[in-house]
Amino acid sequence: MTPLLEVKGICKSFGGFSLQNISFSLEPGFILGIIGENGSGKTTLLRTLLHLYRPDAGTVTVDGSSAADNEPFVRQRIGAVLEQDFFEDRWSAAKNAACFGKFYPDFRFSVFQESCRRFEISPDQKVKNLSRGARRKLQFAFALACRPSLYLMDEPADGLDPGFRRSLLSCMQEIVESGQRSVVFSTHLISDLDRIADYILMLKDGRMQFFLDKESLCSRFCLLRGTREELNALPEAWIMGQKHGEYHSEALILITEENRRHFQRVPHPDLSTVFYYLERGTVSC
Amino acid sequence: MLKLLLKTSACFSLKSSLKNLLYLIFWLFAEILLLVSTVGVSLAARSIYGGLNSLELASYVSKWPAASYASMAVLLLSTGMTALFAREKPLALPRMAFLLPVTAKQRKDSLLKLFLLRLMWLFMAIVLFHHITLGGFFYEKSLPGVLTQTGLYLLTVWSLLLKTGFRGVNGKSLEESTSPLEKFVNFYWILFLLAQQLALGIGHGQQLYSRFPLLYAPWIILLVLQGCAAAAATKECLEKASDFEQIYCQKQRG
Repeated sequence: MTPLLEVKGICKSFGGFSLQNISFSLEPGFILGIIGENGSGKTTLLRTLLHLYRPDAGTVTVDGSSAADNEPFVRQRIGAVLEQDFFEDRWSAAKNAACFGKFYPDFRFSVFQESCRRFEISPDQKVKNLSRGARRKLQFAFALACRPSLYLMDEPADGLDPGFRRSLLSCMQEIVESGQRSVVFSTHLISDLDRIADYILMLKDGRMQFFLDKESLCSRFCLLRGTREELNALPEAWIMGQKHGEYHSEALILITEENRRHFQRVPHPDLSTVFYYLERGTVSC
Repeated sequence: MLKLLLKTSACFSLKSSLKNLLYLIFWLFAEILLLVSTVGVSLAARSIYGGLNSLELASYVSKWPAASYASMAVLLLSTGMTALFAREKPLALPRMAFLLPVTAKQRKDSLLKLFLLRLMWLFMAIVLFHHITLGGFFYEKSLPGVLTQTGLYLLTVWSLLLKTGFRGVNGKSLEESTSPLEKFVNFYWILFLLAQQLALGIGHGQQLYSRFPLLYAPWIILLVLQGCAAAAATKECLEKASDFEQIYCQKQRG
């Protein structure tokens, strides 16, 4: 199947920070979650995918077209929910949608109105009077109305109440149900990844730690418990992170062909444990 | 097929050019009306009375009320037309332009139009300001008169703040403006407006102007500075028009 989004070796240096050699591809019908600490490069990556930033090297292809060669085509296929929206503050939500929607050939105002009803935002209210969460909802409603094939969302659940967060996640799942569209979103919330992501991309200091499907991610690791001495005896390359307590220690082990036979009966960690150790490394309690 | 495509694209660009021409004619028309109305009132009063003061102008208005009100109506009409023009939707795309499915050239064109629009607002505001200076003499030095005039001045300042260089040509607010020239001009302008208001509050503006012609100097300096800032900003705006990160994200990352 042709990938909907194909990223090949993109690099972007920016204000003392650099995103290095990011490559992955996403087929239609899947949700990709990007996770990483603050400043790991999630927003920079999403903005580069949107072609708001031009990559120093590498290519981004959406639906077979590169934004560098055919920007309007690529933009028509992307719906964006960003940290800061670009709407005109002085206009109402409906006026913004009607005006900017004209640029998208598949835009349906009725879909926008329906989404506003669903997300409980008033289309007649001026954008400047909307709360941060409502502005986020407005972006989402506008993106849905443009009916793109790829949704790029930068921490979409940020600033939303828990109730709406759940419906947002359901909505993201509905988007990909047809198998024609995909969603890429960044988040800090492992629970969100656990709930809806099919693939996970982890960033650390601008580098891609891994890009894996969620199911195989946890099975790549095991959580080994023992004494500090026992864990210290293991080869360093196996240990992705460890925690030493007063009474016992535990370590996240990367399972490889070489060590698989040693850890066949050791339990796999859950997603939050994997990220805890990958982000923190060694922790002493 | 190729022939058809070429034909279509030629029609498209012709249509777009005609539309732009129409905008330009509309804009020029509005500006000419504005100038005629302002200069008309001013010159008429000057030629008849050889100078202006409140009593003379009041007498001029009572002598030719129709002409005075007509010129005021033209002013309002042209202001309204300019305001309508300013609401032309595709022109107001400073940030959103970077997300929309348009080419870099279309984005540059839209930013250029936006710049022209803001320049027009600036020009209109200056003319309006001058007109209000004259208009102020319709009122005697009574409390309601002074209050009305103050109100009109505040309206002008508001218009200046909202519609002109205070929100820089590339969509930046006063706080976000990076060019020292732009900052200086804005600061200078605010000081100048306050000084004007103070002068008019204390004495009689027109008498002040005729007694101290040097008071015209700030206007001239202002225009020169604004011209320089606008030219510099246009150059910067057009150079960066297709680059979102250069305009908005120089210090951000994450």
